Amino acid sequence: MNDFVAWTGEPTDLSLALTGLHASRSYSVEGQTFRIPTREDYERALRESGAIGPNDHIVEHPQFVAAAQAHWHASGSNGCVFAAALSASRVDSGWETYVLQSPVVNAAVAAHAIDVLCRPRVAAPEAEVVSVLMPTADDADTIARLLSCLGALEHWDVRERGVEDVQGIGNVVLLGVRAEVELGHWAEVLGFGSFAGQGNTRLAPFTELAIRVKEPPRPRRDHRAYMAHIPMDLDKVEFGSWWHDTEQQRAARLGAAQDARAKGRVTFALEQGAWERIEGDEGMRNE
Amino acid sequence: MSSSRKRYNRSLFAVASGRTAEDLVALLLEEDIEMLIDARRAAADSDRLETLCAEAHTYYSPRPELAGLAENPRAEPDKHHAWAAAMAMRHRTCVLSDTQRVAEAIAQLVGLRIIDLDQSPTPIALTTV
Repeated sequence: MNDFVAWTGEPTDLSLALTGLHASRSYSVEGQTFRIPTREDYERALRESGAIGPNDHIVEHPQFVAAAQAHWHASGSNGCVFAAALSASRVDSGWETYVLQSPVVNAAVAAHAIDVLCRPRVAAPEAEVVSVLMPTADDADTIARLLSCLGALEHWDVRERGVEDVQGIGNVVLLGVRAEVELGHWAEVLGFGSFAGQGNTRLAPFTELAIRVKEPPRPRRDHRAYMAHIPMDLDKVEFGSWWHDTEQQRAARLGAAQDARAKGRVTFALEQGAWERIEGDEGMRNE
Repeated sequence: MSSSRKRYNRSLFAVASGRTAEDLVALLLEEDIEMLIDARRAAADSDRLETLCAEAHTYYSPRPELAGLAENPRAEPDKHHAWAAAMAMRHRTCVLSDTQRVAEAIAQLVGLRIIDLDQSPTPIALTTV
């Protein structure tokens, strides 16, 4: 656990500090424009409020990194009404956050550290989601190497889910990461971060692996476990309404063009070159 | 945005060995059980139970290691005991064993109450006239 700082707060912890938050990034889909805050926006707001020093960077403050990312989810930027509610009550929801303190210099070491972090949380009844934030892992090559190393570990599975030609970027490879949980199920891992090729609903300020660490309430023939299985205490009407709102949000923010890149089975959509550069590098996993 | 989310069970169901796999799974269905932990030392019908539970969308987990809890229920919990208790907190679970002491030891670890599946009331059927 020495590699990670655990954050046990709530996004509302930042309410005062973020009164001046201005979302500077925008994207438009079929005529509708959405604004989302960036890392720089959070950093600026924290400086202006005095929460961090005038020359400080947010990445030097793991607690603020975690709180800002939680705020981003809670504010609905990921398009999922369920995730927004869960992120707004992190402790109650069992959504745990761990911030990697050091840069990902050695991908194999970082992958091993993530595995060591997650294994006991799979067994812990109180943990529903484990988010691993990597505030300095901002380039596609680093993430590609990390995913490749994760995929080589016993309880992880990483595979290509397709390739898309994205205008202005070129070929983007869709990578799906799964983590083994209890009772023979494999949980889909969601990836966030501002990489070229990512769907709009994944453009979070910091790179994140959000790992569902529990099996579904009942066994599934396909052995899939995912975020929608998190207990929410909603009645059928509420659940239906939230589901409908999520579908609408998702469609509005992604459009048809980005739909495949932001599906639950897809963790990251990365430039294909980054993935190809690490493929066949047999020595990398033994760094 | 509820802050009173109910994520843990308060009860653990227990059932004694002795009935057919078909009868047992029918009982589990009546009580909406999500998971059957088979804590019998020897289970000749485990393949049949596994098949029937799969058809009933119920987890089936044979754990003969837990049978020892009957002899020493207050022993320091090992990984099997802790695993069963953690599962019982999250899933509506029934423990199948030769003696209820196994379920009691699991329940005690995390403060669950025991419900004997044989004595549990069947769900009330609501009908319209």
